[in-house]
Amino acid sequence: MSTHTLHIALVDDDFEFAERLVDYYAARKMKFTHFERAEVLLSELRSLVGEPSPYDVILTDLMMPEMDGIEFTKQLKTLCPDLPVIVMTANSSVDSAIQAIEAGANDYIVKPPHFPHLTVVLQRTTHFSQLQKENAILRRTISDSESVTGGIIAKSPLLLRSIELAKRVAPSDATVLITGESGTGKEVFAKLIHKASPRAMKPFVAINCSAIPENLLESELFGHAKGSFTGAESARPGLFEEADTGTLFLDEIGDMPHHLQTKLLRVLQERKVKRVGENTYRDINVRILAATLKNLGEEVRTKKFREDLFYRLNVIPIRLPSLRERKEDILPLAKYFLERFSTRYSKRIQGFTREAAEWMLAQSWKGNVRELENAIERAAVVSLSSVIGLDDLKFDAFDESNSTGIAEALPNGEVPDTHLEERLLQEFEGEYLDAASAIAVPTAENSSASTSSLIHLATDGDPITLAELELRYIREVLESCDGVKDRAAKILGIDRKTLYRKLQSADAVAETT
Amino acid sequence: MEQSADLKPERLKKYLDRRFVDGEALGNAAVNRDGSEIREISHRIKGNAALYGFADLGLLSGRIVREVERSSVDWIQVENLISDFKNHVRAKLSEIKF
Repeated sequence: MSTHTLHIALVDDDFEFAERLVDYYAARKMKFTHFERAEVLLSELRSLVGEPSPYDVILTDLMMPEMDGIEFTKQLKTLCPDLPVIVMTANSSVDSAIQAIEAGANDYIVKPPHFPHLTVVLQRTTHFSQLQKENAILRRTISDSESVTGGIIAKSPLLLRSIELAKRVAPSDATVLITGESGTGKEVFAKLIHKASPRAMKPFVAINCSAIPENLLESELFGHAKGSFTGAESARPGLFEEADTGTLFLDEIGDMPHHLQTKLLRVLQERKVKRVGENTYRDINVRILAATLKNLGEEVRTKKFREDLFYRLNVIPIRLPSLRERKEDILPLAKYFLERFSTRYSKRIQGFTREAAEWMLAQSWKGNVRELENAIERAAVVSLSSVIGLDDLKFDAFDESNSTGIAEALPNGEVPDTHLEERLLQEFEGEYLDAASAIAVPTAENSSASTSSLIHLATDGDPITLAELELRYIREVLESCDGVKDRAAKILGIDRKTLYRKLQSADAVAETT
Repeated sequence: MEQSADLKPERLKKYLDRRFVDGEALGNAAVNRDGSEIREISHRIKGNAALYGFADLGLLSGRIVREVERSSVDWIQVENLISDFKNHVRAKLSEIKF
């Protein structure tokens, strides 16, 4: 519930009634502004074109000499549709109150009101109205962000084509088989299809068929009756039933055991499920989306996957390109992940150096978007600078052979555009930060602290630990600020308490050694 | 009286003084068989009396409203109710302690 003072416009020709409400609620975080005539309030609201209403809610009498409450509500709702209205009525005119509700009023109370009841009605109405506004804003935001690419970062024509296809098939109930390497975003795509479908408000249930032991997968998918196997202490619906009226996403379908493939085929054909240990079938209304990184056609040829199930699933095939096939998306994705992880780890990292961008474009990203995401997260964590450089990205774990090289052929047999990487780097030009200037960013605001010596700290002489480097950096900044801890803390991007704690713990360590 | 617990006696007296004036106006309107004037005054009191702790006065006003809204008004009954109203106001005024 909101804690701000509610501002209520009271429309009532009875000044004694209004006077009493104004007095009573003055000490109860509610401010009443009284209007004896509805026209006066309407005219005030008309004059506020484009501005938000100063009132949180309107409380109006029904019976008034010039314009009655119903007519007033109608006019008000035309003018300010989101402004909640509560009408007050005498017992004998409840019919009129219902008319007012039909005219757009949000609620009504019987006059004279009981103060605690009126308080609750006012709070509830404004709270509900606030939730409706927030809901509308969220819906608009989601709709705006998803209108073009469904919230997926995509610049490459290949991926845009897949998104377009996904959006086209979403409104139907057709089964979709999404294929692509690990980390290409198959589940993200499944969610996109679900969200763009008429089932969007219904459940989206996902299961990874390779992650669940074979003996549990059947009961997980189809449910079980009580006592149907050891440990089945109570009956449980399966995921098909949980996803009823919604969408069931079967990830890694290529790993589904053969006997379950038969059972799944029957469910797809008959739209009925039978729980393990039961004899009765239950109707289900589920849309199936499946995904695999395997070549299911090949699996069919080697008899590892049922041919009939393959055709049943492969109604609409959508192939997701690997990241190396859509280099246009590498830098925008990297930027997106950097923003996310900078926020998560309270860092103020502003971008990448050109070298880092070049390196990212040259990688083959065998783990695709997931690998890129992990690399950026790791870089954001270890970076001591306000810009991600090559050293932050190149980790021991990285194999130099990961680099694709310009001339490497793509999996689809296409020859890569040799000018593509240079073009992408140029497109991203405005986003690069020069390493030296970027390092200076935190100090540029209000300090002259030099950071050039810090680079020496990390590279000059024997290697030092991260903790030592941090301490030396803190002392360096502190010195540059003439010992003013407030200023040093601001430059370091930590609060003063943290700075004190770090210095104290360093002193403690020094005393014991 | 919980609805009026925060009100000072002066405020209550002021409210009842106005009702005293209303009582006179209701009496005159009854003499003139002016149902609409009686209805307007009584309807207003019906809606606000309880907020000042005078729920009985509100109920009495409600009865007056119902009487004058009948298709065939019993004016004797209306006059009796108005008389009760005036007596009630007087009684409440005498109960106020400063």
